[in-house]
Amino acid sequence: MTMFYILLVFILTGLLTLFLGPIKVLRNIVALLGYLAGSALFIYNIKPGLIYSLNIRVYNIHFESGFSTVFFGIIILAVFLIFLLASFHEENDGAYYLFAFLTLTGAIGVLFAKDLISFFFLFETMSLFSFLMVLKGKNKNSPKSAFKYLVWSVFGGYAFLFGTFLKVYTTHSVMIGDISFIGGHIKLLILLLILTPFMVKAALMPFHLWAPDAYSDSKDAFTVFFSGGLSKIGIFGYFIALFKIFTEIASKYPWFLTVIAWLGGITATLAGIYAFMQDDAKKLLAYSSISQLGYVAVGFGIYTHYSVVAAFFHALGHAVYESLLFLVVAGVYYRVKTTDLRKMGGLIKKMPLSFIGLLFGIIATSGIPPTIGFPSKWLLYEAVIMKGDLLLTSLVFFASITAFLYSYKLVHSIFLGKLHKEHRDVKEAPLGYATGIILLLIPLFVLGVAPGIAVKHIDYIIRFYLKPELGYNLTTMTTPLGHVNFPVVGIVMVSMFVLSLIIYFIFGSTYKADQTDNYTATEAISDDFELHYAGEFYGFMRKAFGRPLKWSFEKLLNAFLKLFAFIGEIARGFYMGDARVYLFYLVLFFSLLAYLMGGKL
Amino acid sequence: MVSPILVIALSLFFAFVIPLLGMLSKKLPRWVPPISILVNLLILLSNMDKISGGAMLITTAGIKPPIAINLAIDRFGFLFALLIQTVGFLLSIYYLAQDTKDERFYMLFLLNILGASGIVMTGDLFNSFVFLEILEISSFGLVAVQKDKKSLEGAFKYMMIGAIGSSLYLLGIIVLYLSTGSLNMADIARLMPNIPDSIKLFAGLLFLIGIGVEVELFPLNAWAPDAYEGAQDSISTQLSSIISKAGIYLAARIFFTIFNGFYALEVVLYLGIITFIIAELAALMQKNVKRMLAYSSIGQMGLLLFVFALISKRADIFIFTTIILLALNHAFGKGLLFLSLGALTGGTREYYIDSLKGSGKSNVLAGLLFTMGAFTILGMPFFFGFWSKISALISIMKAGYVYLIGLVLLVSLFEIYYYGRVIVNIFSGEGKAQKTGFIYASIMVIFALFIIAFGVWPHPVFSFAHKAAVALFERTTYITSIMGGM
Repeated sequence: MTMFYILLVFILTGLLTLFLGPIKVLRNIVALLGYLAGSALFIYNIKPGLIYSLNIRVYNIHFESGFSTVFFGIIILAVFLIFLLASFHEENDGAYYLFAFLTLTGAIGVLFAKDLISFFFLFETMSLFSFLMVLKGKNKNSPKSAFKYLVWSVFGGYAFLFGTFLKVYTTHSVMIGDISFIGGHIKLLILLLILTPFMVKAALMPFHLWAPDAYSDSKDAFTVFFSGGLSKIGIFGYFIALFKIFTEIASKYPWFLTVIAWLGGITATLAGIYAFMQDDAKKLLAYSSISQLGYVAVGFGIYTHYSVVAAFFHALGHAVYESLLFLVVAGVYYRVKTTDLRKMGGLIKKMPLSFIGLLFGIIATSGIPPTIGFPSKWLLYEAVIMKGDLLLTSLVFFASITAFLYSYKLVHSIFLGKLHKEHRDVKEAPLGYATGIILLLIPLFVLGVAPGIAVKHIDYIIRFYLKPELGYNLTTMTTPLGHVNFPVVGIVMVSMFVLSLIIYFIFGSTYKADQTDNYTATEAISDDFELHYAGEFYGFMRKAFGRPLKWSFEKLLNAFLKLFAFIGEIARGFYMGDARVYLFYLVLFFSLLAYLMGGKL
Repeated sequence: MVSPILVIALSLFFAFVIPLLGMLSKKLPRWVPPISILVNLLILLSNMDKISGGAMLITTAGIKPPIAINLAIDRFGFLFALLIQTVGFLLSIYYLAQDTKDERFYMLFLLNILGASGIVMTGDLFNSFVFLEILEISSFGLVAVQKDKKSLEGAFKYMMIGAIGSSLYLLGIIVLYLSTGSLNMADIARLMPNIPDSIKLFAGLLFLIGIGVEVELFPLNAWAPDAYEGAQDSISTQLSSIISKAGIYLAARIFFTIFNGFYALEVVLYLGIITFIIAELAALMQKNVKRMLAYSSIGQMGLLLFVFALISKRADIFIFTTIILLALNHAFGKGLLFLSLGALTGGTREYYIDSLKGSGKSNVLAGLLFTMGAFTILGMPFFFGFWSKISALISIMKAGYVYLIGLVLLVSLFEIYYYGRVIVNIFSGEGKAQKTGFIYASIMVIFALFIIAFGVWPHPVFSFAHKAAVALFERTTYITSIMGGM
């Protein structure tokens, strides 16, 4: 029953904020209180193994909680808190919170669902209200991006629904349960259909087309939740589909897993390349988010104990640092009113906390110890190497190089270099953003040094399905390839950094320059002249990769759309005649039917 | 308890009073329809607990069937009567605020409601033809009421096809009368096994065409886009919420109760899905939003008929429950869409998607209501459409056409595309500021409340629809309750 109440609390909070429409302070307080009440209920009451069902005449709603429910629930609720903190400072209205809370209801509800129809209901709720959230977005492109997002997510939802009905038809059970005993290849179709919405949500190529636009054109605070929280439903879905629904995928269709791993690798790489070519901070982060989620798919595709642990841990890490990065960018946008990387620069002294947040965010993204990004990447690399697929291995390694490239571009363009004239009075991001940054930095380091906290829980989730191979305790992990002690690695890393800093201070020749002091080759230039190098950043890379990347899946899709439009025009032609033509249809139809049916007698 | 025959008698009386009142005052006639329909609703509700399993029989002239005209109301017909009167009442309130100079409009409107209610209440086949004619002829008038080129064109096309359709319907009645010597529906249904197959086939075909025009079945629906487009917004609502629903009732009554799922139903099965696909494809690239809604309406009716015809493959009450849910969802959802589209255009009758740009921002309420209407038609969660759509898919699965679910969902994706495009369009850019009158807005809100309230808690509608479906499903009970023991 608690599970039902949690959802109810969120829905009621949303409705209450809607009716408190005009008063912003009250609205914010109610949203926060409602959120706290719901999450307190979740954290104290939701233990694995709860069951609840409700008869609503149409069918029975079945809820169940498992280890995965708790794991993903806590991630999503935590990211939602960050979103709330940030949205206090943003323009919001009653409907804004209503949509946000209903999105949350859907997202948390999906974790509870035990039968596929409830799952679909809640999944669609989440898609629908996040669509409305994007529609309310921040700029004039938002409706267009929202439309794209809607079509894609409904496409996924309908695929899921079709899969559900195929499953119900063949197994006579609507519950989330095994299908691997079904004869024939229909089970593969069911799996593919059920997996589709999650590939869409987790933006796995080629289902990612909605993501960059929807991420960058939604309100900044919401993007935090969108990327950090909602994409986790995609990961949860991978787990549901590959472990709970098709339990014997590894023995029956190993090639299917290989395809997923490859799609993940390609996503990680291509999205990484796209990311460092972006000139908009949010677009860059959107591609970065897609790229990181590609790693998760690789982990699931390899399908060994440590690769799946890596995938889950990477999803957790993604929630932490991707939220952090989007949050920092949101804070920066709040102050400087732009996300265009070419119009920023040198904000390090104005917004030091944001800088620290972004810095550690990108360090974690690149997978450098002692942050949360390291354990999962380390495990994942080992898993890829152990699998012995050299091409995939090199692809994944190449993808992590792109992470360095776009990370550096981000920090350089926003915080380093010359300060823009109009940004001289910029202050640090306000309290909500700052609190969020600090809150996210805690797990970023703690889980980086002591990943055992999370790994233990992840192990509980999957140990029922996969043979436990990974040895771990609070701060160490052991795989067939070796042993790693995370605090030690962290200390080594930090001391190397300190050492090089000392060497730099002793031997480096430095000239302390003001932020506006620039070498201009005797040419007298005015103070507001743009000298910050941000425009054609990685221009040479664009020359190298640009041409092959021009071919896109989107064009293929548009061709399909044109085909449908053409058929549609033909269909429409039927209705374009005058009364005589319509009468002719009638007569023709009558004679045809009489002829056909007369033949039956 | 008041005799339901008064629903028909009073409506007729009031309808003929309207021109007389119009001579006295121009303001007076518009008050007649709401009063009349309210009285009808009260009469119907007072009979609510009288109607249990089987049909409630109201004889005229004290003669028992199969002789003489009689009304036979079972729960299925009662539900449709209630739906028709409720939507009619809401629309009649809406017309209070409307500025119509011609009082004959109100007469036509009332006759239209009367015809639809008569169809769903009568137990006599010939009588149903009379009501069908009343319904159709008043509809032609209502469509043409704008008196511009488009509405006249729509009305003319509707009239041509409709007139031929209903004359074929009459021919079907004649054929049945020749072979059974009866006009009473229950009596004919009782005698059905005695009729030779070839006569059944011929009569079924005639009925199929007669009703097919009314329920917008491909290829008899060519009039529909023109009529919907030409009519004013509330009349389009009426076309989709009342007139086509009366057609659905007639289809169920004739093809199921009388013909007991004979051949014609199998034809409907294929035609239904073809209608669905062709209409949705036609809507895909349609730039005129009202015409797009008309195609969507045809598509929904096609799906409804398809689901209905599944009964020929598998006898299951759930399939009938589903068609009632689909009909209710379509009545309220499409009604809301047409009304809110009218509010969005601000009465300019410019329905092109580009001219609607930004109108949802300047008229937030109408924009939101349009979105809600679209969402319920699309079957989004928390809207009533979700349940009807899921039920439709379950019905298709139960009948064994599980792969067709994929097709239906694929075609539904087109719906997402064209509705999504309109929603996005009305919420982007800046539009001209316009306002919606209070009455107009509250009518739309009532439509929307139905959709949301029963979307969140579908239980009451489900039990109501289930009972109605049982009444339709048990055709022998229907027959015996009218004809007495067999």
